[in-house]
Parts: sequence; C-alpha cells; structure tokens
Amino acid sequence: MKKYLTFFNLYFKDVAAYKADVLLSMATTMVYIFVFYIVWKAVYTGGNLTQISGYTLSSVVTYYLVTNVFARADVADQILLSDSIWFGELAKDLTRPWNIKLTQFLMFVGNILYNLLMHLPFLIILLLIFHNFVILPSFIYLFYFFVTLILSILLGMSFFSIFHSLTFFYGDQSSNINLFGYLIMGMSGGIFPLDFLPSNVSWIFLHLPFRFLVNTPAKVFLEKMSTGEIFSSWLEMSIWIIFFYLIFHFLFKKGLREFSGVGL
Amino acid sequence: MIKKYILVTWMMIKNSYIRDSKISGYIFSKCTTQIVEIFVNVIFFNIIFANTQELAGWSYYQVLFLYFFSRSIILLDNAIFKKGVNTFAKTMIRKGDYDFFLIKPISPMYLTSISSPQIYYVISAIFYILLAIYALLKNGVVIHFTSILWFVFLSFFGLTLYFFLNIICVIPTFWFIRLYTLKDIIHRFNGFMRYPIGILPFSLRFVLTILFPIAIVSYIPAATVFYPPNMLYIVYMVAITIVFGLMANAFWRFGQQRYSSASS
Repeated sequence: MKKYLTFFNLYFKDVAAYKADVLLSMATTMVYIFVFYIVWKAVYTGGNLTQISGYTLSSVVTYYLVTNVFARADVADQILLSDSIWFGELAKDLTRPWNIKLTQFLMFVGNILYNLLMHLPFLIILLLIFHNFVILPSFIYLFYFFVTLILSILLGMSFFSIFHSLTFFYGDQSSNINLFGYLIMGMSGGIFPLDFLPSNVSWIFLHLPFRFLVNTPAKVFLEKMSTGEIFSSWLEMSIWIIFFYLIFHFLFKKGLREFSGVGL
Repeated sequence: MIKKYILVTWMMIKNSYIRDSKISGYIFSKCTTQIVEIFVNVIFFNIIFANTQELAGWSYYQVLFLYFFSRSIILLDNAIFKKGVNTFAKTMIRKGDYDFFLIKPISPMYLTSISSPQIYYVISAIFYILLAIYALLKNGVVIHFTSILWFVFLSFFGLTLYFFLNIICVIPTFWFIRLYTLKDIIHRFNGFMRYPIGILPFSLRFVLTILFPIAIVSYIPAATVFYPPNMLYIVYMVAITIVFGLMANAFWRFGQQRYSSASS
C-alpha cells in the first residue's frame, strides 16, 4: 500500500510541475461557457420563453457550469494506457514490482484531481460572473452530486479503457478515442441537456449508459431527480462500470500475451 | 519570388499526400469524427430552432450555412497550416528545430506554418462546402451572381485572417517556451464563428470584430450571400486582414529576436 501512495505522491508532483500551461488552458476553455450562454440567452429572449422542457435560462446556465467541470476533467484523455502500450513504456512497467492496472488507475486519478483543482479558481470566477443565474442545490443533493460525479468518472474510465486496451491488437487508437470521445460528449449531454431532445429521439439517448456521464450528474445538481431515481441511477451506473471493466480486464489480459514491447 | 513560395507549398502538399495515403485507417477515423460533429451540431441547431424562429434575424438554414461555412474555413486552415503552427508552438522552439527554418531563403513564419500539411482535411472541408451549398439551396432565397463573387473574394480574406490570428496566438512561444496551450487558443474561439454577430453583447462584439476579429472571419462573407453587398464591410474585411497580416509579421520578427537555438 505504501509503495502505491509514494507512487501517487510522486506522480502528482510530476503532473503539477507545469502549472502555467494548465492554467492557461483552463482560462481559455471558459470561452465555451460564454458561447453557450450567449446562444441560449438569444433563444430565450428571441422566443419570449421562460422555460424549455422545464429548464429556465438559469437552469441552462447552471447545467453548462456543471458540464464544464466534466469537460475539464477530460476523462478520455487522462487514461495513459494507449500511449504506454504504443510507445513501449508498458514493457518497463512489466518489470517493476507493482500492479500495472493499479498504477494506471492512480495516474488517471492524479490527472483528474489535478485538472479539477486547477479548474477550481476559474469555476469560482464563473460562479461570480453568472451569480444571477446559478442555482445551488441543497446540502443533501450536493452530496448526491459528488457521489454521482465519482461514479460517472469511473464509468467514463472503464468505458474508454476498452479502447485503450485495443492498442494491444490494432496499434495506435488515438484517433478512435478522439472519435468516440466526441460522439459520447454529444450523447451524454455535454453539448445540450438531453431533455431538450424531441421524445422520438431522446429515448435512444436515455437508454444508453452515456447519459450517466454528464446529463445525470447535472440533473442531480439541479435537483431534477428524486432520491429514488438517484439511487436507481447509482445502481445502474455500478452495473455498467463492472460490465465495461470486465471487458477491459479480458482485453488487457489477452493483450498482455500479445504485447511485444514496441521500441525496445 | 511568388513562384518560389508556390513551389515550396506544392512540394509540401505533395509530400503530405504521399504520407497520408499510407494511413487510410487513421484518415477514415478522422473524417468520421467530422461527420459525428456535424450530426451532433445539427441536432443542437434543431433544438435551438424548435424554440425560436431566428437568431439575430438569421433563419435556420442561414445559421446552418454560416456553421458549415465556418467549419470549411477552419478545416482548410487545418489542412494547410494547423500542424505546422502546432509543431512550432510545441517543439520547434523548445528543441531548437526552428534553426532549420531560419536558414532557408523563405519567410520562416510561412515555412513553419506550411511545414506539415494534413491534406486529408480537405476531404472533410469539401463535405462541409457541399452541406453549405445544400443549406443555401434550402434557404430558398435567390442569390445574385455578384453576391457569389463577393463571397468567394471575402472567403479568401476570411481564411487569410484566420491564419494570421492563429499565428498571433502562437507567437508568445518565443517567450514562454513550454506553454503548449497557445496552439489551442484559436480553437477555443472557433465557437463564435458559427453564429451571427448580432447575438453578441456590445462589449464582446467590439472585442471579436476589432481587437481579435475572429467573428468576422465567417460572418462577413456569409452575410454577403444573403444581404446586398455592404461596401463598408468589404473594405473593413480587406483592411483588417492586411493590418493583422502586418501585425503578425512584425510581432513574429520581434519574437524571433528572443530565439536562441537550443543546441547552440
């Protein structure tokens, strides 16, 4: 246990070595919030609307502030397994006295934590700018939100790890990870609340597990789900996490047997 | 003089074609990502226009045209300049590779930008251009031949202005050697290119049309298609492109004085 804590500690220090780049990145990504705010404000005022599918302009702004946290965590890009396999780094890990999957997980957690910490000052700035629009949840819903947030990050990790393990068999998967990253961003509610979709389209999105990545946590934050619905979502999310993890585990195990250590 | 530039550009493009034709799977994946992006964004625009008749006086098909056209500009820039500019911001200065570009009898700014074309982006750009034509036809308004000529003329300036803005964003690399995010700044602002300027609040309109005029890159050419040519707009577009071209060149030369080769 101690060696993994030391590993995590060292990795986190390494990640945090170049702060300026991440800070500039976080600062410039605030632009997305402004674009969405301006567009939706134009829609609400242009159409003389007070609500769209139960969302006021304040709900929409809060929704995008919450989704921005997920976007900044950037789950798909924080898994390093694909690069590790493709560039042969994994071969070194195989000779070290540790569990590769666990160290990969710790690096993922380190990256996510660092991104979220760096995003925090900008989130505060955004909250101050949009303070007239932000809807804050009650304490208990805030707790529900954090649990849902952790589960959604784990769900994203277990799903994208499958693509990373495909590197063992088909080589570099960066373009496919990018492709599915964009597709899932749309399907998870990262670009618009899924409740805005017409019912004949929304049922597809609402039956896929990707809604749990962004739409569900944002709805929990906005208190648009009952306690029963939240618990049922947690159960469903846990089942999906296990399901995707088992696929990943199978591929990883099979892939290790085929791994030839490119670049050695 | 111009012949030399055309020759170098042609050689780089030819080289890119030979290189890219060997990685068809990667290119297929990249082009599919573009199709997914269209799919997600068209759904987004459908949601917007299900709730409002127009955005700042622009109808659904006019906004779609603006979106498809802005993407075409971005993808053409990606095809020719993006990777070269990115490499400059990421490694050229840090590793000292910029030496190679300094000793050639061609503008180093141009040569670095043209150094790694990704010609496969043209496939996606053509797709977007065809969709823009489709949106134009569906809009159902008669378009005069002179409007099309002005549109083509202004599109050239739009593409050139976008290139200069991108260059201005990465020039600070001469000072901040390890600030990789500089290469992404322009892309964070791309969202403003896909909506009519009229939806922007006054302060932001001032910034995005004068100080960092990314909003006019696509808006002025597109507006010329739907509305009678506005001479003030046309003169402004030409003038601001020249001004930003001169600024980019001067700023680049100024930054270059800071460069000290990593290997010397």
